[in-house]
Amino acid sequence: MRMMSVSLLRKLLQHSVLIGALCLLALSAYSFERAAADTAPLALRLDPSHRVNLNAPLRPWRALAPNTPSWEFMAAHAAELPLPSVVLVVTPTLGTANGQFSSPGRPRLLVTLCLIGLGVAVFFIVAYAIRHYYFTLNRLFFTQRHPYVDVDTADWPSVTIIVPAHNEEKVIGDSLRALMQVDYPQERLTIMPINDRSTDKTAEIIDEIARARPGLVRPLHRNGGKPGKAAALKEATKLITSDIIVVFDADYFPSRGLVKRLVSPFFDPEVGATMGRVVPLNVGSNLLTRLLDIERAGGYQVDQQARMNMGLVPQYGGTVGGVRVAALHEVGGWHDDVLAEDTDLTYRLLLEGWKTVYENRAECYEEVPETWPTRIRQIMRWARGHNQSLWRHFGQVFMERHVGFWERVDGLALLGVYALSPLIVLGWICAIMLFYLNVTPLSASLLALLAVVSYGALGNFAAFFEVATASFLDGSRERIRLLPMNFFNFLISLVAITRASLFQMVVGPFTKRENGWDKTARYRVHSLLS
Amino acid sequence: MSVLAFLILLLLTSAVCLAPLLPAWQEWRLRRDALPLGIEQGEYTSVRVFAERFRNHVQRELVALETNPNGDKDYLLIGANDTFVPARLEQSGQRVQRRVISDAALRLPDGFAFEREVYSRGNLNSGRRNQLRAALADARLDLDEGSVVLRWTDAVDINVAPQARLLGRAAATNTITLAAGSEFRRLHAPTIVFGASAPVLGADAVTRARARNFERFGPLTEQARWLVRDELSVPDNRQVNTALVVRGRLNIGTGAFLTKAIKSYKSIIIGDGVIIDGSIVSNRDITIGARCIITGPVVAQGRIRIGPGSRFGSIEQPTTVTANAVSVASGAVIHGTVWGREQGQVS
Repeated sequence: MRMMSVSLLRKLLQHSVLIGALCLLALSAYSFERAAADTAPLALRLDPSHRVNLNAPLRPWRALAPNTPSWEFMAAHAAELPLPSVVLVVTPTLGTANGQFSSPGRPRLLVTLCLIGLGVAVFFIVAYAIRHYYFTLNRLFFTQRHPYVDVDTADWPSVTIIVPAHNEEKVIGDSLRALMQVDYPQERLTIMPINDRSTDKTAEIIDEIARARPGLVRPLHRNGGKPGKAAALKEATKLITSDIIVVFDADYFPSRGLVKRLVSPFFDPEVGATMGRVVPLNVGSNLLTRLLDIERAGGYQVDQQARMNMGLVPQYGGTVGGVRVAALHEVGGWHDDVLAEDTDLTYRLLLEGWKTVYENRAECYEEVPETWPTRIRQIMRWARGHNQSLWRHFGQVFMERHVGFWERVDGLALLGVYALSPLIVLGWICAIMLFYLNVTPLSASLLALLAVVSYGALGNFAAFFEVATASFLDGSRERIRLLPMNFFNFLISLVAITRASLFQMVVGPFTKRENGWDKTARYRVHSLLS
Repeated sequence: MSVLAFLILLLLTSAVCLAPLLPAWQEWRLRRDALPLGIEQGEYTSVRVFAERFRNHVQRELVALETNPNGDKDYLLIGANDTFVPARLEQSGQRVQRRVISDAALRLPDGFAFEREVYSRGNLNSGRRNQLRAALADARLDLDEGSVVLRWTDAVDINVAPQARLLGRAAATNTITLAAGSEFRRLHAPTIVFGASAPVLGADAVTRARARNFERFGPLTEQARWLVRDELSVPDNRQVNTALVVRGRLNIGTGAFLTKAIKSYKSIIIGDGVIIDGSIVSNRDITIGARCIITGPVVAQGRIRIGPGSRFGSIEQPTTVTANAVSVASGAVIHGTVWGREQGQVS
């Protein structure tokens, strides 16, 4: 019993920031409401030049009308005001269509909370919309940075390619055979597939390939320790002596030139990690794969490359990416207690002054989910991992003065991308509630209008603009017609992310979740090499 | 509101909502663009890929010619004892629209434009003011004054005369020599000599520098990088033993020895006789003095200026020099690859 209490207390302490934020919100709502109750419209003097004279004393209307005035009262008594004057309305509970400023039956606290919620949602939606538009315009019209892509001759550093695998019999063979054919000095290359307690034929396939190329392929079989990709990477990193680690998921199918493309940025001594572009392979399977194809294109071709162009924070995505071993050790190695070791590493590198580089021409095929339940599970997993990183790194990124200002802004925005979905839902709920609470005076209408416009015209469509631009840049002109259907994909993702985020925020602190293999289903039937 | 009006409103609203979905539905059903995006498989990273493909293509055509001597061919085949004689129409327009394939050494006449590839199984000498789409020689290729190759060049050795230009990819098995006043874009060879050959420091210069007793500069403790958030000047004849990342300008004094890679967010100016055993990266320009030795890649997003007598990489460990613009003084040598994406010139 005592243990449980201590555990509960610890959880509460861990989430004290959240609790504090909620308390702050409630307090501000209460203060707001009190202020609203005490505030009456003010008369503001204008000088003869019709400019607002800020030095002139403000004269509360209350002096003219002891009770809370209505629109009718103000209209009737406007003539009593010394001319020239204007009325400055200072009250957040702004009245109703019938002209009353305060309605005794209206739940003021709820109205205030809804207004705050809507305001916060609108602010972030607009901020992210501007960000999306800026990235897209940058990608279309500004200079593109690929500084390391031309390095094709060099004294290449030693590289270990790690391929973590858990029950990957359908795909691991293709991946390893393709990796054995990459264009990289063989004496500097090691391929280390990790079989993490697979129960299918993954281990046999790996061993068979390793027997064929014993110098090149050095498998690691894990039967104990923590399960999961991060734990596997952590254990493998202890065994390697190379300068660079390159990580591929087992379903990835690399091209010959890919490894050089991923490694060449490491000649820059400031680069701690590199990230390549992921291209869906099973595009034609069904509508979902086609929608994910254009969505992925937007994320990499526009979003990541724009961040690279502007020297912001491209994200290391955990696969088709490289990590400098010295940098990894400097920031404390892989963390196996996180849900998204890739995002976590991106931010730890950033905070220690290492850069992550996106290499758009380092392209690699992958399989995308072919069923909606798989897709929903995948995006919920990503949301949980990303939100956990938000929780861990937000304060540090915000406070770290050695990171450039715009890098910090972009870093914070990137951390918050999965928190935006619950915010959009919150904005919707607040807007609907305000509508039914009959809050429709001028400024609230403007707010509601802003919410609708920003969400409809900017919030959604900015991301859609990004996807369309990516298709344009890729030269794929027909698939862009599917763009309107991505709205449904967006809605499903929105609900899934919101659900994952809320569950994580409300229930997560009181449940213990073991990190492990949260596998995405594989669909390959025939080998790509056959 | 009447029922009819309501239905019409509903219909129109549905039509407005569904209209954007019609092209989507059409593409979904017809699957006109449902294949995976093509990705670069690495073939274009090789500087010699076009030459290899063309050589293979010619071999196939020559085999086909042996089996069917009277078949149609869109190339001019020159035998071992023949010379290149343009047709009358070609002579008048000074344009050759056929591919030219020579079984032996080939000399091209002055002032002609060759709109398709020229291939010699021996030496290939361009005339003056030739314009070639692409040139392939199994031995030596000489590009004469004022001539230009637009797409790619490949040979065992390549000599480029003053005012000649190599605008695409040029690769040689042994050496590319460019005279002062010539231009280039992407060159790849074990040895690339710019201008008159000058005595460059030997390959063992780095080893000798390591053995020399320089005075140290910078952090004395072992660390992965030395991060400098402002400008930095490394004094003359000092040694820096750590990788260097500088947010401001970086000046490296004459005779200094840096044992690791260096980077600056702004310009880098390197004095004469500096040895850098690593790469150099700048977000702007890099100016390298005379008689420097750089072992790693040199990457700038602006311009790279290279002084006379400097050497980059070695035969055993070739390297890459790449920037938007590269200007190289006569006497410098690069082992490996040099790219001037927008401009490359020998001064």
